[in-house]
Amino acid sequence: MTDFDEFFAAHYERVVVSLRLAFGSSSDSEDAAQEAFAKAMLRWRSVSRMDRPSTWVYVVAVRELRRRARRHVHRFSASSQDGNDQRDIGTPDPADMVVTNAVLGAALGVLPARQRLAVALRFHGDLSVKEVARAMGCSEGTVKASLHAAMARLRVHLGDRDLDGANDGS
Amino acid sequence: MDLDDFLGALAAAAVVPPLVLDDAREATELRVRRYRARRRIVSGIALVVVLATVLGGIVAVTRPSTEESVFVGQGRPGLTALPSEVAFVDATHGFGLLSQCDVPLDADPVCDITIGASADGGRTWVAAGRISQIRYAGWRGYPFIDLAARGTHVWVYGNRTFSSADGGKTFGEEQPGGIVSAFVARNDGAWAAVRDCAPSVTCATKLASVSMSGGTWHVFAHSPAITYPYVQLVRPTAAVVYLLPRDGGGVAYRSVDSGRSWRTLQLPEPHSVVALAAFGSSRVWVMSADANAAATQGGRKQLARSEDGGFTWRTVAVDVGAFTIRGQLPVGGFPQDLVATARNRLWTPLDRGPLLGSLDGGGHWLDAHVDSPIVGLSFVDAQHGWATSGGAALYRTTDGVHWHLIAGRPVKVNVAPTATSSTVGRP
Repeated sequence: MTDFDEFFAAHYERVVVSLRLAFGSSSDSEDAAQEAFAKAMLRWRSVSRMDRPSTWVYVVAVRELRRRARRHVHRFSASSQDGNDQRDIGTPDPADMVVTNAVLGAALGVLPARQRLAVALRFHGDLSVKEVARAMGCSEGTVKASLHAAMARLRVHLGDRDLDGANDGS
Repeated sequence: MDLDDFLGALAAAAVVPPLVLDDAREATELRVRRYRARRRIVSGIALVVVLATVLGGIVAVTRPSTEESVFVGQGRPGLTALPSEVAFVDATHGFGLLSQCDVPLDADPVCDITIGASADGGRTWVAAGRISQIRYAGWRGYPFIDLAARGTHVWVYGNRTFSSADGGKTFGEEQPGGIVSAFVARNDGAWAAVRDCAPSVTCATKLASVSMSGGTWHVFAHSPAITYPYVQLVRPTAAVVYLLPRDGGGVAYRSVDSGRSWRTLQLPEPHSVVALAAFGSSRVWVMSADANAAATQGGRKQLARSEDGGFTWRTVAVDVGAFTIRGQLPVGGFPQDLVATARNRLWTPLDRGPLLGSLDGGGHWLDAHVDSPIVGLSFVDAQHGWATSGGAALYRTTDGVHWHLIAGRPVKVNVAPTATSSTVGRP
């Protein structure tokens, strides 16, 4: 088994689930993850020398999904002028949010897209705040603010009074 | 659940059904290959541009015309038209069928069948042999005529069945015991689903086989009791055989001892299974579609896969939207067939829709960008395949991914596979 095979086996599922938690669409998430891993494989000599190659994969996969979402929005806004009823691709479809815990899906559903992505990458992808910022293409401060707001919203949704230290670990 | 529990559950979240890592790894590998191929093309174009600039000339790259070379014989007479059916025996050699029938309303149809042979992967065809003035006694309308080949053996099967052992030059009539509705040839012999009555009459479909050297057809004593006239016969290995009656009865049949005994399989979408594909001894897929929907929609398309020979199933793809072919199955287009060419490779031509391929066992589908409606597929391995549009155009793949027009002219699809979200079904 090559280095890349081991890397793929260790990280593929976590990347897919993180994307799925954040973006909702199962097929797009797998597509984007495969695209990102394929690009990593092509540049494996340089990617493998990075501190955490998985972060690079997250960055590429998130970029790919956002590119697709933009394309969908353009396409669907064009078709909606013809009177077609299409769902908003940017919002997770509950039927696509196939995770083992139903409460999890429902709670993530109350978060706006940016907060959902930050939470998924930070707590499922196990990325640091700095890495999440890189993946989201924003500043660390923005990530911290998104996580803080997400925790507050989740706390209300879950009826929990204990505030989590979401901003630690950068 | 408090926030700590929530974050714990979030960290441990998984997907249902679990991801199949081998499939994903293979799909990723294929993407890498595609990237590398694209890079080579870009490098080639860049080189041409540089050369053109250096030489001070303009290089015009034109697509080679295939139409002129298609039917030209090389020393022997060519075919008068592109074959409507093809059956290839290796990456370059194949046979094609051209039929011309006189079909009066109140008399027996009479057909002339020409067998073509190609030695260059289907680009050019020469006439190999001919079966003249075949009368289909008692039949009204067009008879069933189809083609199969293995090595130098060629079969023309249907209402009447003929075989050739010399590459289609000479034919003799076979007596399989009736109308052959499905046919499979492997090295150890030919198998056929046979009925001794017309489709409108009720009688049993029997399974029969004959050795490659010819002789008498042997009828399997314990084949399943099927009365529906249209069946699919799939034989992925010498021992394993599947029979699917296309009647929506919700069952298929499987034998693991070369047809001596059979077990009944309960299908996941009982009323709408239209095609079955199998690879190896235990991996099998069934494609479902709503037969009552318009051909342009074919709503509630669904693909299920089994890893245990068809006893348990899991859904791997559903139709998700008219515009999103990439990822899942499109709503538009009724599936005509389903062919497995490798453990994770599937192809399905859609009626008045695209030819779709999956490289990850059915989870994700890509448009093959074949700009004609495809009615027949022929593969010799996972890389080499041919797609026909019924005599108008012939396409070929040599890498199991990309398809190219090699003969004829594209037939544009008249009806685009579109639908509104109201037709999108979820299982």
